Amino acid sequence: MMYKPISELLDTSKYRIVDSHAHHGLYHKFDIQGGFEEDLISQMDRVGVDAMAISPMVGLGLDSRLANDITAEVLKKYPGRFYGMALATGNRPKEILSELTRCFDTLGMSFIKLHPDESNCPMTQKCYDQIYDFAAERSLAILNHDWQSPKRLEELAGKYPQVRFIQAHSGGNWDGHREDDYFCVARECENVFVDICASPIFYGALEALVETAGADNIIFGSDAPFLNLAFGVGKVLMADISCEDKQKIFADNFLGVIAPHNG
Amino acid sequence: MVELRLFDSGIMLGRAKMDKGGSFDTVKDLREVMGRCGIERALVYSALAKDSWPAKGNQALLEMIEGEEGLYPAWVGLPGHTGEFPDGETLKKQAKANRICALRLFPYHHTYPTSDFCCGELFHAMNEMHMPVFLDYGVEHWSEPMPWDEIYRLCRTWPDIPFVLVRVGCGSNRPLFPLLDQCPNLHFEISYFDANRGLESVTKRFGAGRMLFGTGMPIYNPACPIAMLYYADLSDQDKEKIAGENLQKLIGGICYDV
Repeated sequence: MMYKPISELLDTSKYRIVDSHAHHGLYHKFDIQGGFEEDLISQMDRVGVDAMAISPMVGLGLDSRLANDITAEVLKKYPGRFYGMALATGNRPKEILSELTRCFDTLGMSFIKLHPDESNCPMTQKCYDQIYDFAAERSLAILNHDWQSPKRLEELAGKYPQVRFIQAHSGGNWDGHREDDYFCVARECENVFVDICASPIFYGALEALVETAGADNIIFGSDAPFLNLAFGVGKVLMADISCEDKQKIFADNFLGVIAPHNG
Repeated sequence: MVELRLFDSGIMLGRAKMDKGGSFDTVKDLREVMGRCGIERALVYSALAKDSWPAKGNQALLEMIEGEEGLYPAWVGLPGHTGEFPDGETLKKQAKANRICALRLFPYHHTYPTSDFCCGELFHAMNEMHMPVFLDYGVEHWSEPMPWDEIYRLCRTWPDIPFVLVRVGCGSNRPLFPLLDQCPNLHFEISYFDANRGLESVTKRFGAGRMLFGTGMPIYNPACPIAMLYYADLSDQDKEKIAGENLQKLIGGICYDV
């Protein structure tokens, strides 16, 4: 049997690639070489990624205002190459509304990012209600590491139909076999999506995910520079799925999710 | 983009549990995927040996890959005190007779320490042979710790064993860099080294000779390390070293006549 050369399989020029889940800067738990905007641009150019949505790691629980300021600077410095995630940490609930307002009224953010674990603020806390209300009022998307449960996510998706909900990592960490109700919610609720941003990536899992959740509901993310950008792009490029589905996953779905503010 | 000659340093062959990832039940299954992924050669070990019965699995592996060009046997090892695995002297003879190219250890999965009282005889034999020893601690996620102190001790105690760490994750630079600096016999395979500028930063500090291409198939997705290596900001020469030349060199250094 004749196989395609790997260089052809890895050719990113056929696709528009927008990374929906990336970061900026350094992380306390381990060393990151590079990681700032110049490095991110360099990696994006090398791999063929058009744009990247970022949240600085300093804002994952520690200082969301500083992080949002950094994001705003990067957006200005490299117009068209980055999307901003507005961070609002649950461990400072009094700051949430003013910070989100600043993010969308003056800093040019595109959607909201929540990280309950790093913020030490579980999703059971009432402070998140004001975030949902804010997102609904402005028809925003929310990327979150933990929606508490598929049932809770389904409830939220029904209660806030104007909001697009993205479950981070679940499509990427999946082993390809066990039942995962988040995927059913993504398939059944038109405003719920899963991202495939992950570190351990299992053989055949993306192909199985396309079957389970549907290609229309899957969003590409790399977690760069926390993780390697090409490592993440490769799993889609070489997946045994159609080029059309790859394009949906690489950019089209995500751009649709944030479209009300970036279309 | 230059096509690289990929030599995978660790593929599991034979019927696998399939609780995560896939399974290459037969050589034909493996060949099909290797072809699709542009992998020319592979060091393979037995799923049966890893997850149930090392002696039978290692033998079955030899039968499965007999006459198969580009597939090289790695035996799953154990300390030999219980009779489950050959003692050091017997192992040397069997390794020579069967042209074993590496020993792969799963200290956590098989529940034993790599201390000298338990594995000293095994390592002594492997040290004499300069046999590559893969240390697989079953790391699935970067947040799981590696026993860095013990890895350092092993490398210093057995300087003629080329040790190869398996599943070194993105969070490893802080212990990994000083280990590579102080232990010239330490290598690692890159199937999970998804660090930002990881390949580049190791190459810049230590050269490209310490990293081996690997996919972790059939559990893990081969596309990730392949894309990472192809897109790395390295010279084609350094990429070729990582892609296969380094592993070839380690196998070429085995002393079967000891």
